[in-house]
Parts: sequence; C-alpha cells; structure tokens
Amino acid sequence: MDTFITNRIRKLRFEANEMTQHALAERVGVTRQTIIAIEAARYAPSLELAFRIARAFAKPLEDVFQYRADA
Amino acid sequence: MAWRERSAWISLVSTCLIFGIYFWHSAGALHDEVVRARPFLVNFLVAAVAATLINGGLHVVSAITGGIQRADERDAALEARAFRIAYGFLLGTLLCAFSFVALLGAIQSPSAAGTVLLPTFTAATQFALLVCVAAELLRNGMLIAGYRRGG
Repeated sequence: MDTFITNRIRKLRFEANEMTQHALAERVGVTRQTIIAIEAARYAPSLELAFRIARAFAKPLEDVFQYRADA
Repeated sequence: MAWRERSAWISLVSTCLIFGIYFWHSAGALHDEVVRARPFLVNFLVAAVAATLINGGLHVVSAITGGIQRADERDAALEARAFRIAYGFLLGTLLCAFSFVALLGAIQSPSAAGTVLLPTFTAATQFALLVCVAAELLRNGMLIAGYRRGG
C-alpha cells in the first residue's frame, strides 16, 4: 500500500553525483530493497531512518520527505 | 531477490514439500480401522528432522551463492505483520475448533475405552499440527507477498 509520505530521493541521488541506491543503502544502513520501496513510496521509513537519509544528502528532513495531507 | 525473501521462499517450499508428504500419509493412515499413535509420532519426528535439514541446507546454499543481508527496519516490519496475521489465524482456528468440539461433546473422557479414544485423540493432534503448519505457510506467504509488494 502506498504511503502518504512522498519523497525526492531519486532526484537528490541524481544531484548527489548520481549516487546509486546501493551506495545510499550502505550509507544509511539498510538494504537496497528498502531504498527502492521508500523511493517508490511503498514504505514509509521510521523517523530515525528518514533523518539518516536526509543527513546523507546534507538536507533538512522536509527537503527530502513531504507529507501528502490530501491523500 | 533479497536474502530474506529467498529465505521465506525456501521455508515455504521445504515446509510444503515435507509436511505435504507427511499429511498425505497421515490422512491415509487415519482411515485405517485401528489407528496407533506411535507411527504418527515417528513420522512426525522424521518429517521435522527432514524439514530442518532441507531448510538448513538450502539456506546455507543460498547464503553462499547470494550472500546474507542484515535485517533492517522494513524487514522487521514485514516480519511482524506476517507473524501477527499467521499466529492470529493459528490461535483463532484452534480456539474455534476446540470450542466446536467441546460444544458437540465430542471429547470423550479419559476413562473411555482406549481403542475408541485413540483415533479421536490422534485426529485432533493431526489437526492441531496441520493448523500449525498452515500458520507457518501463511507467515511465509505473507512475508513473500510483502516483499513482492515492496513494503
């Protein structure tokens, strides 16, 4: 089931020198499949993981994740 | 395919195979006129050992060929959901079955003749085992469905 949380991870990976899903997964300590699921908005990460992902891109949390209140 | 999804597939297939054969034999044996508990117990032990060996062996082969990944929070969430559904099914089914049997007064007292009581007891045991195996298959099925869906 899709979540109400959208994200810009794909775009941010592209901007971060085309970081691979595997590299991001290694950096934040999850599997590549989890990054794929988060990118596709099929899995809502925990707050801690969301912060870790935002930190990996050196961005504030709200620049990476958005809450779709109308969904 | 992720390590945990492969692991769920291995458990599903090995449990299906081994306990499928076990219950096939048990269903046939339950139709016999005199049912003895010992062959069921021996067959169950053989099935449990075979399932453990096949499951373990396939996991080792899978780990060598595909590598192991540490579980992350999504794996834990999928595992928890599969566990909740499967063991809800297990408890619910057993509770319903026992309530149904108790309601019908089908459970005989221990003082009843042994040969009459034994088939009922054996059948009840086999049913309980079948529900346990079904719960395990459901748990693995839910895990696979979760991984296939993505989250």
